[in-house]
Amino acid sequence: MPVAQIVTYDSLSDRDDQQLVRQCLQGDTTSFRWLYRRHQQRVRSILYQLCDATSLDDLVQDVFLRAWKGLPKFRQTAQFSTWLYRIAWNVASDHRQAAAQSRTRLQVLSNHSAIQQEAPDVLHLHYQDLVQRGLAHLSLEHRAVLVLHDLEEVPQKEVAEILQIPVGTVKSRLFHARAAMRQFLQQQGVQP
Amino acid sequence: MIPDLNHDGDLVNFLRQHRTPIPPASADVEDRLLARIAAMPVVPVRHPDRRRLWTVSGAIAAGLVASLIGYHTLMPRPYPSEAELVSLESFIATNWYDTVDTVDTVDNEYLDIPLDDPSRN
Repeated sequence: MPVAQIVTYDSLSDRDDQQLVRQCLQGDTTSFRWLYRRHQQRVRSILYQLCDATSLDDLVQDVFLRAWKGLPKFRQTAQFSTWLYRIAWNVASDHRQAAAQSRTRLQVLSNHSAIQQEAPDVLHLHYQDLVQRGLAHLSLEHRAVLVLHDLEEVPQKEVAEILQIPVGTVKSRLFHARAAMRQFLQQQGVQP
Repeated sequence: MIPDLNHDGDLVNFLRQHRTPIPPASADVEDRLLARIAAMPVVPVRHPDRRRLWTVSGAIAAGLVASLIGYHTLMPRPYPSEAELVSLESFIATNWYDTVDTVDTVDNEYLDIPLDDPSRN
């Protein structure tokens, strides 16, 4: 029996991204399942912060479908996660453009409220609402940098690669995004 | 406690602490994704064969070297023939003598003028 056929799930989970990508390129969908499980939560989080909750499952699927199709072109010297987050950024940008006129912020907020019904702390709920509204208040470029760096803790160099901008621009956008977010929160009564 | 938003660290902590939880994925998302992927086989991109690339570039380099060596070996060197040498030698000799004769004449004529001749000044 060929070695490839006796590879177990456990051994696949131990492999790094590059090894799994190589397996995927040989048509092994089980390896792709592991890549999905490893990265879907972060992709989901980025998409949620950049878009909204209504079509999150579809957007996540879209990202991984694009990744699967694009795997043959993926340079294996690059980091898989950076490449994947770049796809997520593209999907989010496309989705925002398409949905710009079809949704209102009010609908998004009502969805968020529905999700948060179990949370007991009213002040915490209020702050969550403010943070979400503050993010929505930012331009997409500022929002992406703030989400990737401050919320997802992606290093600045990697953020620059994902958004395909210089590191200096990442720093500048981060400065302005934080300033805008700070101003928004203070206007909403969150004062020192 | 109200955070001090003037410090970046406090602002970031505030955002992380109060970010909206991500809605959970539907139970069947993973299976639906894998089903769609199974219907889409990966089409490998044909990268240029390195071995073939090396062979071709090696052949080109060898051809260039062979051309250079052949050129230097087989091409006749630009040496003049015996007849051309004789002709060249006689040409140089003739011109040389003509030059020397002319100078000699001029010099002699000048030297023949007496020192007390007023035309000399």
